[in-house]
Amino acid sequence: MLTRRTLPLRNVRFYARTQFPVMLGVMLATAVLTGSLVIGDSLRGSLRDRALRRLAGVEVTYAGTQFVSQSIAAKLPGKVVPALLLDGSVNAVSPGGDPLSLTRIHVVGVDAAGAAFFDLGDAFGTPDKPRAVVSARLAEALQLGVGSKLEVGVERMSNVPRSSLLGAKSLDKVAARVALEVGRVLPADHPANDFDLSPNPRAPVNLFVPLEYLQARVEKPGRVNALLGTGADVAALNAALAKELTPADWALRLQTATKPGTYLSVESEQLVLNPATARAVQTTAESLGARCEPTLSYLANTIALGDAPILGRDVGSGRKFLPYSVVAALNPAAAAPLGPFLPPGVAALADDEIVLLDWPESPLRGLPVGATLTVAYFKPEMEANAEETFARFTLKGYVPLAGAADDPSLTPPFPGITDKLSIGEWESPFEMESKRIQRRDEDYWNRHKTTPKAYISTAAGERLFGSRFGTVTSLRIAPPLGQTPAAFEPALREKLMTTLDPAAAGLVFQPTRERLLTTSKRGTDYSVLFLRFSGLLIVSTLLLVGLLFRLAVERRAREVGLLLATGYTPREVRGIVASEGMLVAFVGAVLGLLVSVGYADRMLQVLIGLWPDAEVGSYLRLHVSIWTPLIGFELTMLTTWLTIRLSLRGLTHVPPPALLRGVSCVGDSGLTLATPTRRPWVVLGLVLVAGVASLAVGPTRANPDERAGAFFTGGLLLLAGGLYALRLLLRRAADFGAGGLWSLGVRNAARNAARTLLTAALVAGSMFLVVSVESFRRKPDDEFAKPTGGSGGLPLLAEADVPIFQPFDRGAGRDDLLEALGVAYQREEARRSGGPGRTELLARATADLDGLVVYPFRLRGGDDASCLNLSQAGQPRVLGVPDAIVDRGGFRFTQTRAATAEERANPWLLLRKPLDALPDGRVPVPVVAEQNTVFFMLKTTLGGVVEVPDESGRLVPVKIVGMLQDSVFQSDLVMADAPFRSLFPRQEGYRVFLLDAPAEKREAVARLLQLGLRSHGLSVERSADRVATYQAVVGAYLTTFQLLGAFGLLLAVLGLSVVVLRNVTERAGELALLRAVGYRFRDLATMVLAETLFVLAAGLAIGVAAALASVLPNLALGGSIPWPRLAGLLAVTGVTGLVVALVVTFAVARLPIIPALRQD
Amino acid sequence: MSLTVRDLSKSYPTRGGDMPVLRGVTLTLAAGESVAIMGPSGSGKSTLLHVLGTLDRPTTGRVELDGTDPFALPEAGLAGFRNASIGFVFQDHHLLPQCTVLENVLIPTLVGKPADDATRDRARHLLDRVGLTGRLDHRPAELSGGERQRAAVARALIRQPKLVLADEPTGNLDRRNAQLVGELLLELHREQQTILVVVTHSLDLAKMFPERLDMDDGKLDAAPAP
Repeated sequence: MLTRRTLPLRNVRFYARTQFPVMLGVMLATAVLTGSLVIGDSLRGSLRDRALRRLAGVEVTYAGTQFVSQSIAAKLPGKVVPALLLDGSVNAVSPGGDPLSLTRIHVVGVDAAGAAFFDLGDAFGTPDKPRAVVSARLAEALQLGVGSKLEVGVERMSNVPRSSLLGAKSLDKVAARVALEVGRVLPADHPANDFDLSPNPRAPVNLFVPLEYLQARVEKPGRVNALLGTGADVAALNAALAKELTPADWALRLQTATKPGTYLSVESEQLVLNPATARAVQTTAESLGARCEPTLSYLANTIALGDAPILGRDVGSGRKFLPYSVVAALNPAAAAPLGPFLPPGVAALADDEIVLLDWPESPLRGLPVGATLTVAYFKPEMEANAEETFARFTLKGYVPLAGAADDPSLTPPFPGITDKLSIGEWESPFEMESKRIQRRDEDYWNRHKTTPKAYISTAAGERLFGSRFGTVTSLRIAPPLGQTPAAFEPALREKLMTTLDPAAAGLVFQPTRERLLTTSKRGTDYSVLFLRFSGLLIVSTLLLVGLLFRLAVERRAREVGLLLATGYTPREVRGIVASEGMLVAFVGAVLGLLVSVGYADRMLQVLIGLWPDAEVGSYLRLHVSIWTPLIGFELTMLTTWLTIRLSLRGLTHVPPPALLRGVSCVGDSGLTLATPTRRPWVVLGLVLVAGVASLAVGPTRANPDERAGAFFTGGLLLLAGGLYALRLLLRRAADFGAGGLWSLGVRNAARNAARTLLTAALVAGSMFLVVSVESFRRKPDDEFAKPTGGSGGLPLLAEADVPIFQPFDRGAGRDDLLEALGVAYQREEARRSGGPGRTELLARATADLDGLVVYPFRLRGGDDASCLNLSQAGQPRVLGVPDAIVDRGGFRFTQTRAATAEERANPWLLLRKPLDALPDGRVPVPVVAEQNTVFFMLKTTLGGVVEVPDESGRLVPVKIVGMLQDSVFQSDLVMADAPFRSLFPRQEGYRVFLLDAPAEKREAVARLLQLGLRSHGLSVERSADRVATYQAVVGAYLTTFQLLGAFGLLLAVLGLSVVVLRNVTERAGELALLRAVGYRFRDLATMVLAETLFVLAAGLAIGVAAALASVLPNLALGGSIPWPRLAGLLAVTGVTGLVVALVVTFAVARLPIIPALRQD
Repeated sequence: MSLTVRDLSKSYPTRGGDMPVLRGVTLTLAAGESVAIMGPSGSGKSTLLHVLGTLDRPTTGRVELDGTDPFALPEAGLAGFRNASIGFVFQDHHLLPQCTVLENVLIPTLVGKPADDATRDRARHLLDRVGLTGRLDHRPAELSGGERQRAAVARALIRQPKLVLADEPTGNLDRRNAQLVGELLLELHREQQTILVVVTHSLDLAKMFPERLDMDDGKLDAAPAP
């Protein structure tokens, strides 16, 4: 039964053909809008899937710098497997005999339980013939099969910090070469292929190795640096872990001092106790009623009479001095048994005073009190070569070699030194001048070992010998009265284990599963990103929907007129027509939901195709959440409803009599518009001024979203202003020249201003998107290579899996490199016959390495913060920039907090400038970062503060003081070396290098470094390539969004075609009349062409002008407009418009004249 | 019940200034009265009809139907007034092609609550009166020109309007159908005691009316005897 409610349905059924394009338009809008949301779903879903795959069943982990006992794992709740997780490289030989290598390998050492956990099978071989399980990626890259031989390069662990005096630093001491045979190649779909505890973009390449074998090779028997857990929560695991930790897990030794036997000595396997641990030991001891004295023993190269130091190769001829002696810094006034170390009658020791041990053969015996002694020693922290320095003291007197002073336990044992029978046998990592050592010195060593020969105050010792690793080598504890050290030790041990805070030392499990899932969710919101960039396309589609709907309704103007005439209010009429539209929209939206999935899938494929890292394609899959179709449907219906209401707004303004005549627009209704006033021009002026103001405000906004918002708001206001100006122009259409086919055509365009405006808006919007997006495209240019460019003038970038301590462009580092090259050439020589020999190759290498300059950076591994990472970089990588770079300056900064001319000239200096404390009292560390990293990954801006975990997991605030552009540092936060060392003391050595080399030698240098340092997994690439990869990511986005813009342009042309067709069809009678009076086809075509080109040109001009204006600030920042591409696009659009006009005119011109005249 | 038009004028703004279309039209018709208005094209006949039908507003002057000035009503009230009190017959039938003949007649009744049985019976009765009993479920496309216009007449009368306005109701019809429609209009007008105003170029149609007026240059005068 027909009612007012069923009338729209009746209309839809009857006018299905004319409403079909509207339905298609809504379908398209729904597809694009919902598709954008589905893309967001897909990114989130894919990243979540990837995160879960990477976890491979692991939920919580301990993974830190502190090694713990492997046996702890079995005592923890849930299922916990011990593991050694190391970065490494793998070298192999192809079946054809070619050497192959791959860096950035995750070397995972697991025991039988771990092998079962990862479902590796029984492929680890036997202890005497260990075998590895290689991941599918590794096997493919290195052409490995079962039985293939591997050589794995990993870091050889060192108890003693390598950056300290006794740490070994040469290449062969730092890297261990682990020889293995492949026992199994994992199938491509095996979960263990993807095991990785970080959300980094690079696909993990895993190598599973028998734990015991790996532990032995890296010199950490029975110890692991990771515990991988599942089935228990973090709190329970941490409570259990804290309970199960032993002093050994803290690298602590508690033992009764061997010689005096009167106190307990707490020492560290790392030689120096870290400050937190030292404090805890002292507090614990004192709380049990014991006395505790911290001691810092250090090796003095010489203690010489006089104020001149004996340094370097100086053998000290003619001088009175002690060579290679231990100096102890302690409380010299401590009561027995922990002291005293003061000469008789002396109550205290000033910081510049020294007490000597009085031993019979001492060359410094009998010196007068007040004599000057100069102590020469190596600086306590060093990455490369030891650097000697000295300090002067005044002799305060002597203590006899007896009692507290007759105590070798004041110096902790150190393998290779304290266990040697003579000084000459020391396996010291530093150079010694053996000629200084006399018979008496050897005798002393033989009898008294490491008993110190001199004492200084604690404060003096901390100042001279303290390092980032600590200022205490042992804590001497005198038990409470009446207790022996042995009797006191259990109580101290027990209480100490409850006092030491595992959390403060980072010895805690982390909710890794939660972290990875969180990072997978908190990256860039791709739904919003695609919605933003699809926004114009969606608007274009809706404009087209509005246009098509309006055209469909206009054909039924008489019906509208009738309804109004029979007493329907304009509102009721609009309601009926809008309901009809919404019914059509409903069908379109439902179909659009289906299409949206295909659309999203295609867009994902486009993104995968454009993305510079093919890995993305391996995990990016289509995901649709339950709510997305619902949201997309509702959003589309809402926007379509608004569009339809807007498109109908003017229709009921046409008087019913005119509607009854079939007139559908005011312009043709016979009504003359009101007399023009100035008001519209004032409005136009205001819109344009607002647009320009918004553009001007943009550069002043620090927040990237606000800045982008200001640019686009400004651009869109200018776009709106341009279209409004066109509207005003159309009102004056009657003034467009007098006569002539072209002016007649333009006047025709003005006859239905709404259609013309909508069509021009479609064209303008699409052009706006295409042009504005293009200006953001970047690639390394000539500027990039300059010192003030993105590369800092350093053309090569290298990264190592195993830290390198000695820069390989000079000194021992270069010698080590050449030696490693020599070994490699020797192997090669043995492998092949013919070609240049080892000597010749080495000579060439030596020549090629001349001119190489290396800037080494410290690295704290973490989440890649570059735009390659689709996940959030919750714990970004941190680089410690060398002082040489800070002093040198360079690189391209876009914004800095520079306040002085010097800082403006070299913003790196800001890294050394202390910052004010935050409101919570913490002082942030100044850092610089790439601007895209700051904006999009860290989601902050210049001056913003973010938190990064230090080595123990404590969150430390860092403040962005400078932003780089086109930088090789896009993956990292970059801070000065000093705060880096303080925050990450055990991140020793260098893993990232910027290199300069003469242009003609760069390829050779890269090859040589990768060959010579392959045990360290060094990979070298061009800085320009690295940055080009980053920029390719931006390019991928831009191209995707430009595709959307081009699609919008296609819609615009489609809309234009429909409008021209409709306009011409409506005027078929007019055209027939013109033909009847003698107009030729060419004349009619000219008229239609003029009308079409006018709309097209207006849309193009407005779109391009608004886009250019809105991207001006970006052009100032280095963006560019691709004029040739733009010209091409304009030409294609123009030609398309021409073709449309001609086809339509031709179609109309073929209509028989008489019927057309009758119709009119 | 009466239609009173006093000193009605209407002009349209143009670039060249206001263009008067009606000039001081005065007219009074009582229930059961009918009038045919004739005049050359552009004389203002249709404009007068549109103003009387409240499709257009007068520039000055007053229109009252049964004592009500419709132009004093708000927009919704004006539409309601038109729906309840005025019936239109146009030169073109303006039947909705998507609706049957019966549904087309019922279109004005859909404004309020859905048509009840009485309204439907009335529609059928009217269609019976205009000779379309057998065509109730036909679509307009299946009717002849005369049948369509007769359906339009039935639609104009469905709400039992006080005033029926017909603008060239026979303009598109042949002589025989024009005669038929004219007679039908007058017959139903008499039956329902409406006020009937017809604008026409057709002298044949005008002759059927007891009173004829001439419109010339926006002024209304008594027509000379034929």
